[in-house]
Amino acid sequence: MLDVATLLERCRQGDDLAWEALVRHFQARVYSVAIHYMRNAEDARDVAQEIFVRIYERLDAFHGDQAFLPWMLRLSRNVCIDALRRRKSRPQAANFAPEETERLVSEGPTPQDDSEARSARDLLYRAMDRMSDSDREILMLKEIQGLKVEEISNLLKIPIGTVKSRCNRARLDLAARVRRLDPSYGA
Amino acid sequence: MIGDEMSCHTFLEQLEDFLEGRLTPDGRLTAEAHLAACAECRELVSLAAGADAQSAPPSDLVGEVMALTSGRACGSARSRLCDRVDRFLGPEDDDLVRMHLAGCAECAGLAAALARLTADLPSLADLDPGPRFLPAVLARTSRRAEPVAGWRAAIPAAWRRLAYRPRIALEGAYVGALILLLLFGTTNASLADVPGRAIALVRTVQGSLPTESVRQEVPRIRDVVHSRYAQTRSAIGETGREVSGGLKRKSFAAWDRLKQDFGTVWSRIASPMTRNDEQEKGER
Repeated sequence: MLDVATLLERCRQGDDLAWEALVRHFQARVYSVAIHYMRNAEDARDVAQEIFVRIYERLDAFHGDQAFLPWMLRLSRNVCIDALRRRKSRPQAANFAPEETERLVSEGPTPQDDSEARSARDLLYRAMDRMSDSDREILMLKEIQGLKVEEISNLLKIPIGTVKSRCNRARLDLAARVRRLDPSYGA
Repeated sequence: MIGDEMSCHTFLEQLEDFLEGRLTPDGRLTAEAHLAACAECRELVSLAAGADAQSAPPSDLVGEVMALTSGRACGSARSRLCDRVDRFLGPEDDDLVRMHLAGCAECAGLAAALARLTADLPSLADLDPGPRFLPAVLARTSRRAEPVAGWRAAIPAAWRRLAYRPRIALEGAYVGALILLLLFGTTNASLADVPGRAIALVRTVQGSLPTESVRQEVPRIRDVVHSRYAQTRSAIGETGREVSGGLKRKSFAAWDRLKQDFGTVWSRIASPMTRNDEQEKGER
C-alpha cells in the first residue's frame, strides 16, 4: 500500500481511488475515536462519517510537513465535541455497548484468540465506562491512539506536565477498576 | 589473615552479598575457599545464618513501623508505577519500587494490571465500523466538488461551518447589538443623530406637501400608465405572432428538406438491391 503522504497528495489532486484507500486505511481508527467520545455505536458511525467528510473538505488545510494522525485526531475530536454539544447531553453508561456492532480488526486470529481478545476488550470497556470524561479522553489519546505527550498538550491546550500526571492518574485508576472487575487481570 | 586469596576484612565486607547469594560465581568460589580455610569467618557465617533462621521479623513489622513513622509508602510507590512500567525510572527508584512491590501484594497486583494494560489498550485503537461504512463515506464525499477548489469553495464551506455552530444565533445577536450600539447608541457615534434627523425630515415634508395639487394629478398619472400598458401589451402580442409564424415556416421547410434527403438516401439504398434482383432473374 502507498504511504499516507502519497495518498494525501493524490487525494488533493482529486484521485478518488486514493481517497477510498485513505478512508479504508483509517476507518477503524476514526470509528474507535468516535466510539470513545459518543459511547453509542449508532451515533459513532454517523460521527465517523462526518469526520471523514470534514477531512475531505479540509485536505487542503493539511500541510505535508506535519503528522497526519494528530491532525486527524484533532479534527475527529472537534467533530465529536460538536456532535456531543448538538446532542445536548452527555451519553449514558447504558448506551455504551460496542460489542453489539463492531469487531476488533485483527489479522486472522483463531476463534479462541478472538474470543479472548473480545473478553479482554469488553472488560476494558466496562472499566472505562465509569471513568471521568477527561480521564477517558486522555487515555484514548495517549494509550490507545498512541499520541505523544507534546501532541496531546497541543491538542488539549494543557501543559506537558499536566498531560503526564493526568495520564498516569488515569492509568492507575483504570488498573484499579479493572482489578476490581477481574482480580486475576495481569496476574 | 589466612594464607588464601581473600582477607577476613574483605570477606566481612562481602558477607551480606555472600549470604544473599549476590556474589559473582568467581567471587563466591573465592569466598568459599576463604571460609574453608578460616574457622573464625566460618563461625561468623554460621551465626549469621542461625540468626536469620531463628529471629526472622514478623511479616507485618515493616507495615507497623511505617504506620508509626512516615505512613504507608504505597502512594509514593504508585506515583512511580507508570514510569516503572514504561521503563522511565532511574535504577535507584526502580530498585526501591521493586522492593516495595515484593512486600505489598496490592501494589504488585496494580503493577501487573498496568503492565497488561500497556499491551491491551492499543488494541482498542482499531474498531471495524462494518461493511457499509466505507460506501456510505464515499457516497457522501464523491458527489462533492474537487477538494482543491480554491478560495471560492472555501468561503461557502467556512460559512456553512460557521452557520452550523450551536451558538451562532447567540453570537450573531451579540455582534448585531454591538454594531447597532456603536453606530447609534453612543454620543460620539457617526450616525447617532440619524434617527432624530429622519423624524424631523418626515415632519417637514409632511407639512410642505401641496395635497390638493397632488390629488388632481393622480387621475392623469393613472391614465398615462394604463395607455402605456395597453401599447406594450399589443406590441408584445405582434412580436410573438411574427416569431411563431417565422418558426412555423422554417420548420415546414426543414421537414420538406428532410423528406427529400430521406427519399434520396432510400432510392440509393434500394437501387443496388433492385439491380441484384434483376441480375438473379436474368441468371435463372
